[in-house]
Amino acid sequence: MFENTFEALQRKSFSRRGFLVAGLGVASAALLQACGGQEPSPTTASSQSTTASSGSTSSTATAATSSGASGSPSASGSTTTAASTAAATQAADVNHKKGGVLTVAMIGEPPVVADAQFTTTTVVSDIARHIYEGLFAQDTQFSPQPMLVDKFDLSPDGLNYTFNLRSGIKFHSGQDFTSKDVIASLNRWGVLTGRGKQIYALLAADGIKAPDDLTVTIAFKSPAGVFLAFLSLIEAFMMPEAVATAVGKDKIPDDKIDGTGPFMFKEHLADQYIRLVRYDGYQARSEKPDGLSGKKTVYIDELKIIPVPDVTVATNGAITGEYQFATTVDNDQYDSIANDPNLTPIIVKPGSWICVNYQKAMGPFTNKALRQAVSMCFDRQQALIAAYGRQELTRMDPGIAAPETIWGSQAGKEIYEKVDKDQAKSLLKDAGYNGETLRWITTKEYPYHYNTAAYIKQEMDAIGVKVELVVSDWATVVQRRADPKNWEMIITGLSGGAHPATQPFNDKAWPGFWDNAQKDEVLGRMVAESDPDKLKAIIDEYQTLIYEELPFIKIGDNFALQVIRKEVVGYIGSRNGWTFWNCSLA
Amino acid sequence: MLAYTIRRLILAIPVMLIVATAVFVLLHFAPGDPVGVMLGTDASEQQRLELRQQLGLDDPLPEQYVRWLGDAMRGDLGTSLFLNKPVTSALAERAQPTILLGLLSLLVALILGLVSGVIAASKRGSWLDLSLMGGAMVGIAVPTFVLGLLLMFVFAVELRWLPVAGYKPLSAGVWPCLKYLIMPAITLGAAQSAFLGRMTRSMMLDVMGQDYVRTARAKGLTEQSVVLRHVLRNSFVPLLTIIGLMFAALMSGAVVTEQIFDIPGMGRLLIQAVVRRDFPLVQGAVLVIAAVYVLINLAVDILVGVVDPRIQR
Repeated sequence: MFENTFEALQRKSFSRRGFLVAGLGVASAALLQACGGQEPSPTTASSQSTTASSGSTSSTATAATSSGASGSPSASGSTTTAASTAAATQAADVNHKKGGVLTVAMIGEPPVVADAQFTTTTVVSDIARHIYEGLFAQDTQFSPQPMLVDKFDLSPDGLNYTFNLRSGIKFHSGQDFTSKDVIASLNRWGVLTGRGKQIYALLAADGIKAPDDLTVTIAFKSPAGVFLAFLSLIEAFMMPEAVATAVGKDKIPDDKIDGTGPFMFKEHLADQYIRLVRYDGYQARSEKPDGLSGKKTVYIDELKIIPVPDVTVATNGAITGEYQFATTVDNDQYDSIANDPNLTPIIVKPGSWICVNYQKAMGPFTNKALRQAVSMCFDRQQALIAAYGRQELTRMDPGIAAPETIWGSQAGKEIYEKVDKDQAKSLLKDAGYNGETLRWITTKEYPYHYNTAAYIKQEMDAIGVKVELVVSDWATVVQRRADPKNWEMIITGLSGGAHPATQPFNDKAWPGFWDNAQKDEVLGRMVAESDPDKLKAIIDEYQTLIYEELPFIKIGDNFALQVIRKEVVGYIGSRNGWTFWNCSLA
Repeated sequence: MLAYTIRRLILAIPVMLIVATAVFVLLHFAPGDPVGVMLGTDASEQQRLELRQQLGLDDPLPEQYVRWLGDAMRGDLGTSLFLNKPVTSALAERAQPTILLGLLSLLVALILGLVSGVIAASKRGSWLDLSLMGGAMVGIAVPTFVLGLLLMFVFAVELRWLPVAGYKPLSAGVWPCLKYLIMPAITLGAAQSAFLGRMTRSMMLDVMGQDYVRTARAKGLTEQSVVLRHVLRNSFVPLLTIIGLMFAALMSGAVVTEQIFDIPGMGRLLIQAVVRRDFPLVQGAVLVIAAVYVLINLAVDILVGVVDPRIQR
């Protein structure tokens, strides 16, 4: 009954009597929710949904493939659009109208507006992508394509890169973009970010040089095949040399935000809004848009980003038209969004994946048999439903990178899918498990963390493993997980669109503490390799090792749910993150 | 009166010092890492360590405490780790929404609470009394987030009379500002009014049994005059204390309401600061809230003396 009244509320069938009943319903539903009694309702996805993955054509040669070849920008296939018609209309097919303010409800206030080198937090990258650009940008397959680079060369031995920069590019402040800015920006990236440090460790002495204003040469001691893939991430963005020098390791303050991207930073009022306006001096590339690469044209006058921490409020605001786009929507509101003629739900593929990590520095999980026992004692599909409620927002896939990317792999699929409680029990005996309680530190701040843990705990109990859920807020989890004495199990969300060499579990200091010589050897080859076929084989090898060793459990993929109003024309989906160039307001 | 005020203000100093110390100790002994929250999930331990050093979070706690207290005494509450701006200016930015919301909610609470309380008391035992007090019970029982979301569904999503959430400052105009605050003020004011209504009724019933009320009736005053001039006025002293405490609570920010209606006020700032372990901001905000309580309590005590001169004696 409560579900019906709730739906009635959302479908706008309102009468005075209905209001009273609905009021009671909402109150009761809220109480039920507070008591944790909400059941996910299985419903099928509406055909209106815009899955960014569907219908995309593959791009041609990736920049990373061109070992020794000259790298002029590859004209890649266009991203687009879902066979499902929805709002994601191909940019080229639409007559765009210039003007208007597009308002975005974003899940939280960023710790800094756009400094994607200071933090890897998604909300920061989302904003940074509009203001800044790097030398390369990702296409829809997450391959690097030139952005601020015009042409590049890689020597046949894979050690020396030469980048010719595009001429006539200016920062928002009016200053010319030159090789000095590249060096200063990369140096800051090399100091502040994990990936930057990884690359800088491989550079030859005095490895970065600027022979002239528009040329940068970079020399490595040993091949770094991941280099261009790393450069295509927004964290490797370009800023003026003066800014990079002035801020150093500190956050870039609002008054020093100066990029080359299609939007300019205008104003920031913490917890109220961030305003970006069109940069009329933007020099677009000529290639077709493909993911974050290619031509970018801004039609709207302004992008207003409002932090709206409550997902219900974000959806309500999209329903009433106060926000044209909401970056995070409650999964339970999928049906009401799909039924609203003014809205289109967007299922963002690839998304993230749930990683249940074992603490392997000491204690019971140093034993592989126990890790295997836990891995096969539960059904991952059920765990995904427990975590996210709706099947269409999840996917079973063994890959540490999503199948939408060039790094997707099916290696280890049998182990990934295996559920065998009897074998799990016998593995417990092999492991010498003596009934000690395993501590799983988790948080309710991210409901999927707790829901997954609660489901797996129940299944572990069933085979005789004692688990204690230690629940606290996220900040506490982050602090506690650094010390292996505090825990045995933990959950983290990891990106499905990331190069496998960049996954945090590769680092033996990262909570989970996977220390393995074979892993380091395979990773070394993975970082060096630039040939895509050979890279694919190395990733398969790495993933096989992961499933043999089971340093952690991959549960499955999750796709974020976003909502966009129909008056936004030409939105191509959020495959590489949401962006508001090449689309307009009707 | 002046000596009394000065004495009370001097007495407030140890109170503030105890609050400041308690907050500092509790916050730093509670687990939680601000650096982890700031840097994102895949930051390395090395990066965390570096930022912790940069922010001075790895200094010994007594050293951090003395430094913070010394600065606070000079009016410098430090710099917010997350917002990267002085705590005082972060708090000042949040003052306007909280003060406006607090005043409007108080207005709603006073109108609904006093009127329903007076009517219920003067019609004691009638269906009107029962339904008003029944309504008040419901008002107290319904959580603010339920009422807030219900109002939002009806007035914003369905009727489209008011915006769903957000805030516009007074400088954008009175109506643009007000229309964002109506629903939150009703949400917040309704629970307070329910409480105030029940208190008003109970205080008035106590007074109604007094001899001077019987005398007033006996000398032929109208019922209206008896209720408003004699009963309500004499019930007002304890009510003033309750209203004062309500006002102090409203001025320190309403966490749930501000969160639901996306109002950038003190409550939301404080809760976010706690979640992010923004130590200087939490310490500063709690200190300011403690000061608000002390000052409003003092103002209420002075006002009570004005309303009922017997208390001054």
